[in-house]
Amino acid sequence: MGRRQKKQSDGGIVWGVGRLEKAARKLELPPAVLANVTHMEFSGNTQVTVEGCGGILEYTGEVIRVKTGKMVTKFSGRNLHIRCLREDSLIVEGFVTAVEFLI
Amino acid sequence: MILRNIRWWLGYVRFGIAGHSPERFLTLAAREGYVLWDIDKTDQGHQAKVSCRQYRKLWSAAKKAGVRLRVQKRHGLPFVWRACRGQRGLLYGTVGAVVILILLSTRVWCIDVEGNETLSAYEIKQAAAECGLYTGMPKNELEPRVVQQRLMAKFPQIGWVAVNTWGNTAKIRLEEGIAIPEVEDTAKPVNVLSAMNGQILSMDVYHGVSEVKVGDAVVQGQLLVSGVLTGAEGQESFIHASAKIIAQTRRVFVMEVPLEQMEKRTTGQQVTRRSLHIFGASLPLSFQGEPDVPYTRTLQSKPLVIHGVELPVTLYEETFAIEEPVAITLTQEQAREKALEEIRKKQTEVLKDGKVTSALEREQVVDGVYRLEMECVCEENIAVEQEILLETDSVL
Repeated sequence: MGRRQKKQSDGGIVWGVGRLEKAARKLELPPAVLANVTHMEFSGNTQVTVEGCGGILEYTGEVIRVKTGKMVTKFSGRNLHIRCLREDSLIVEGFVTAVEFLI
Repeated sequence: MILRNIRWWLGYVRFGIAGHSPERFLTLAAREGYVLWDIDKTDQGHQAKVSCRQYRKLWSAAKKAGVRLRVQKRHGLPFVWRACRGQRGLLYGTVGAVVILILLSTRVWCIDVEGNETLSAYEIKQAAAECGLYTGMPKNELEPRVVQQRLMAKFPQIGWVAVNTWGNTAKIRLEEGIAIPEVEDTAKPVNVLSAMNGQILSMDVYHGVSEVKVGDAVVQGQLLVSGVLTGAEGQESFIHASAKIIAQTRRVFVMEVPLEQMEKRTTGQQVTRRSLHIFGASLPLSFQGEPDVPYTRTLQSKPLVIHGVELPVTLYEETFAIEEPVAITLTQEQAREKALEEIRKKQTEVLKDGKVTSALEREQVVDGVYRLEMECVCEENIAVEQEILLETDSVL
C-alpha cells in the first residue's frame, strides 16, 4: 500500500488509484464512485458536463481543450462556449462535433 | 430561472478579459474557488460573468495570468440601489406600493350580491356582516360555509346561497325559494260551521254532507256541512268536511277621527352629513351631529363603480329633514276621507276575497270627533272549519 502512495503537487496524497479502480470494478460500481477519475456527461451533442477537470488549456469558438487528470480532452465543434466554470467542473455548450482524448 | 434571480438579487458584473492567456486566467480563477459563468469568446476577446463580490478578488489571478479585466456591464439590485441613491423617495415609494399591494390583496374589499329579487342587496350585506363577511376582513378568515349556513338561517326564503371569493371580491349568489304553502291537515275530522249570520247565496261542497241549502238563512255557529257520514247500516265515519259557502251578510264598520290633530311637518331645513367609506373604514367628511329636534332621516349611498366593478369606496349621504309638530284642524270632508280610507283597509282585511254590495253611511261630529258608521251588505265566504272532538275509550 505504501508503494502505491503518490504525492500530489499541492501536498495531498492519492491512495492507489489503480487499486481503487479495480475494487470498484469488482464491486460493480462506477469507477468515479471510489476512484478520482474524470466524469463526463453528455446531453446530446449540445451540452457536456465535465467533473474533475484541472483547467482550461485552449478556448475558442471551435475548440475547447481541458485538462482531465493525466489526459487532455478536446472538444471540437461550432459556437462552443463555457456555460459555467467552477473549481473542478465546467459545462461546455454548443454544437459538439468531436471529442478527442489526448494522452 | 431561480439561479438567474438569485444572481440578480446579489448583483453580478460582465467583464472582458484582454491579454495573451485568458485560458490561464480562467483556470487560476476557478482553482481559487471563484465561479464564472457565460464565458464567451468574441471578436474583442473573452468575456465572462462573476458575482460583484468576487470580481475584485479576481485581480490576483489576472495579475498572475498577465491579463487585464474591464467591467463591461453591471447587473442586479446592488447597482440599482446605488443608482437610486439620489432618488431614495422614488425607491421607497415603489417598495411601499409593492408592500401595500401585497397587503391589500389579502383582504376582501367588495361584496357583490346576485340573484336577489325580494331581498335588497343592502339587507343581505348587513346580514352577511353579522355572519362574518364584511368589507376589509382578511381573506383567510372567511369561512364561506359558515356564512352560507348563517345566511340560510337568517333568511328562510332563500333557496340556496353560495359565497365565493374572486380576487378581492366576495360574491354572494343566491336564489330565493318558493314559499312552502300551508299544508291542510285533511286527516283531521272537521265540520263546516257558519262564521256569520246571513243568507246563503251559493254553495260549493267539496267533502261532507250538506246540512243547509241555497236561500237558507243561517246564524253564526250553525252547522253548514257535516263531517260525520252515516252508512246504510247506521255505522258512522268521520271525514274532513270542506266547502265554500257564499252568503249575504251585514257588517257595521265604525271609524272615529278627531278634528283637532297634531301633525309633523318638515320645516324645509335640512342637515346633510357625508362620510366616505374607504376599504372598510369610515371617514367623516362633515362634522355635524344629529339634530336635537325631531327629524326624518334618509340615507343615500353612492359606490364608486369603474367598468361595472364596484370598488371599496362609497360615499354615504345622510339627510336629516327637520320636522315640527303643527296643530291642524281637519274639515269634515278631510276627516271623512281619512275615515273612509281606514274603513276600506278594514274591509279588505275582514272580507278577504268577499265584496261589499251596498252600504249605508251615517256620520256625525260629537265633541270635536268625526264619527263615520257604515252599515254594509256583503257577499263573503262564511264557511269556517271546526274540529270534531272524538272521545276514545281507554283500556287499562
